[in-house]
Amino acid sequence: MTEPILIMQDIVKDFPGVRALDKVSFDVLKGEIHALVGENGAGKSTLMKILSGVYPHHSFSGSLTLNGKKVEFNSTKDSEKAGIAIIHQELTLANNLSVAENIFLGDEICKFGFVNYSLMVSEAQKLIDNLQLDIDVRMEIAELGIGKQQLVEIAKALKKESSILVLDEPTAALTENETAHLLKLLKELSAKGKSIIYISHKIEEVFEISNRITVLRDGQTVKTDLSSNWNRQSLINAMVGRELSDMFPKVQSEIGEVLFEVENINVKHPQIESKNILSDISFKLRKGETLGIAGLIGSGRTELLSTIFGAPPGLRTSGKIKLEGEEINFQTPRQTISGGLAFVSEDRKNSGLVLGLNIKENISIVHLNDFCKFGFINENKEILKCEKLFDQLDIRASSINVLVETLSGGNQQKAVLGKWLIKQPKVLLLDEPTRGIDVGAKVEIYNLINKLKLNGVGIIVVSSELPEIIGICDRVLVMKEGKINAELEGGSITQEKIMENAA
Amino acid sequence: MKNSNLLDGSKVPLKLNLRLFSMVIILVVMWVFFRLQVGSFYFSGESFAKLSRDMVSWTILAAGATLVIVSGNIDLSVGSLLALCAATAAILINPDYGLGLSASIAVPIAILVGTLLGAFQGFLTAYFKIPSFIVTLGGFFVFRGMTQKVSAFDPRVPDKSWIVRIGFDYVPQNIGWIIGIAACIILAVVLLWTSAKKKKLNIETLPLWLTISKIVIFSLIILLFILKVNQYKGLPYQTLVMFVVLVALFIISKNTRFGRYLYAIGGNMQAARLSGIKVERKIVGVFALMGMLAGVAGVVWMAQNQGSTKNAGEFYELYAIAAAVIGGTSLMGGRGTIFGTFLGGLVMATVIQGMDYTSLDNWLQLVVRGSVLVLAVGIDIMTKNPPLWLQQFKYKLSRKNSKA
Repeated sequence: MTEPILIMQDIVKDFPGVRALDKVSFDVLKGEIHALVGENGAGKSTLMKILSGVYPHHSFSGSLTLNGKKVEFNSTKDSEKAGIAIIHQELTLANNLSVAENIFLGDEICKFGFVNYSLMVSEAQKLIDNLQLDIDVRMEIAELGIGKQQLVEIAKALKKESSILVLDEPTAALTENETAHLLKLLKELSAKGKSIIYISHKIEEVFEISNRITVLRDGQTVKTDLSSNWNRQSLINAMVGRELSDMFPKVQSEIGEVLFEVENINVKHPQIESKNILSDISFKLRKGETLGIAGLIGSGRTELLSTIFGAPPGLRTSGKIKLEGEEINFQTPRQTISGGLAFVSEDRKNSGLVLGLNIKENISIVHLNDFCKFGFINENKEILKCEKLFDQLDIRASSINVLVETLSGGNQQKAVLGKWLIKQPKVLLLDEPTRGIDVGAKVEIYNLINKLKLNGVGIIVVSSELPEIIGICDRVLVMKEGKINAELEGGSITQEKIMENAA
Repeated sequence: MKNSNLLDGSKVPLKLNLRLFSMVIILVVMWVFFRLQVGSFYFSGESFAKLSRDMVSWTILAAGATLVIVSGNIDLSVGSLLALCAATAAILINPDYGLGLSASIAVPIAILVGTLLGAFQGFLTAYFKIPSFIVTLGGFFVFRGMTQKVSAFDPRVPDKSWIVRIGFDYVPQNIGWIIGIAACIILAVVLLWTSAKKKKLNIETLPLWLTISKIVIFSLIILLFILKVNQYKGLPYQTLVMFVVLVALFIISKNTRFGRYLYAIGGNMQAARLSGIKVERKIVGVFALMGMLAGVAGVVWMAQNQGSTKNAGEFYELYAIAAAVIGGTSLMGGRGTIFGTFLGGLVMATVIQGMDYTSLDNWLQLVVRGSVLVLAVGIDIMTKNPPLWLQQFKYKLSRKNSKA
């Protein structure tokens, strides 16, 4: 094959008290898709931050060679100029601007300081059409779904004529369809000679798309090899550093009587008067059952969970929920929490955790009353209870006084689970419970779900990862455009069936 | 293993303390500076008593403002509300233009007025989703206007009313000592008792020597302060009121459910709501508390001035916010402490008083006050979250030095 376009040699990066990268070497060939995998905290992001100049040249040791020349990046500008574009997991688009404005952000087509808007729109549209994306560039970013936003971000990077594209978990928020589209696009780009570094937790994708795979673990390179020389098991073992026999350790629990009923829920769209986000939703959940809710993004899965939990995204015009045969109010989360519901929301940073508070304060917040007398918090009681959960969930931090914003994604997710499991709920609603977290933490969460199941908790899981839905659910509802389109059970839960009913 | 994912999370409490520590150093530097400028009078008992007295009304406001800001809101109306409460109390007490009521009736009514008006602003903010900046900016004008009406004749409070003593009198020296010593004993007992209880339950706690040195340091400060003010006329009653308010708010912010909820709401409103917190009610609550404190501060102001005027408490809302922000309260919400605000108030008071003593021109005083605010917050941000250009500059400097 060709010469490597990028070589990172013996990179060592220290943080106070921790060596984040320990002599990592990594190279990328022209026109290849090189997957970089590893658990959270393995050092992938740190390595990419070095490549993108976030950590300036002097703050680490080792060398960067680009097109045969040694380079020193002191800022992200330098690396951009050198042709490296990074698309972060958290999108960096201006929500209130149009697609065209975002694509040309910081590089507007101007004459004497005035923006030539029409030329910009037509140029942007050309670019978007070239990528075969069905997007009107005059639309505001906020109007697009998260999947399309991701594609806009890629278009933006391509506009800069970058030769190396880094994608950090690009499909975490995408549906299967969107993912397929993205992967196809990346393959075409690599065929045209662009080099792509692809970071992902999704092993199937990695195998589908990459030419080579590098595994990092605890800041060291475990191995770089052609994708064809890896297999699923060897890759997982390399990432985790131990044998992981079963990704989805399913348990056969006793599925009992009906625990929870949802009847005829209708919710209006907050902006569009004539449209319903949810229409005529009814279903039942049994004790010890795991019910999956599948569907494309925008099909109303998340909205369904938050409506059940008492936080509807629009006006709820009808609907009842019954727990153990008794109807309960669900106007506010407080009412449903008292009834015995718990809701692990999709976006832990925006709606799950208070990042500025520590682990203890986040865990105890839901049932703070249990630690209070006359409104005063009994700190010792709180600490003891939270420490118990901290140990049970194996949250990796030095103590419960650590701010949650400093935790890794998997540990943050465990903290969210902790706050809802401080008292065992009767019904647990999980929205994308393993999004963006590493394999090891995923299995821990599956085990936890199984444990609750055995205790008779009813569980509803929304997930975009079909293997996960298939692996852990007893029954699956497929949603489409705010309605339940199909119910699948047992052997009929397959990827094909789900996609058939979702799309 | 437990530490593997931890970069610097554990250092955060230390960082916070470092921040408070740096503020104490700033204070000491300023004191030394003014001592050199002003002469021995600056460290006299009279000077201390005055310093503690002058900061009372807006430090009370600042303590409330801290909680409002922590909850993710802001209150611009408190200066006007203070004036309105002062005017209300004065007109109720004044026998010529007003009702001639006893202060024991007028004072609670004035505080109640503050509380209700504060709660109403909170109600508009929480239930109608009008941003608190707008609601309280409206209140800023409305309450000032109402003050001009109520205080049309600048009502005075007769000398014989007990409330005047709060503004002018001092706790007798021996009772001052008793209060000081009692405060030290309570502090020691509370700290040692919680520490012992934690140990019994096997909960990690500060090492004993740290607890004891904490007790010793704070006790020394308290006793030294009492000693100083007793060299003059004793502890001013209004200062005592301020300390009571500060301690109460310290406890509310640290040890109550309400306080914890405020931090959660300010840190992440959506998460707080989904955790079952009745966000709206808490916001009404914190504005009501703020209004009540504006009432208390208004009464103190009235006592200091033995009556009310149309322009009482002007700019106090800004002093309050400034003190809170200098003390480390984040305008983004979710972060801030009462103790920090107290230090922030002390910094502000020191600057104001020091400049008075050096008889600086009024216009220059305002310039310095504003500069101190921006400087204090600026230094804090530069040390905590230095922007990239500063990091690079520092790096280049250090490289040059090492070469030379």
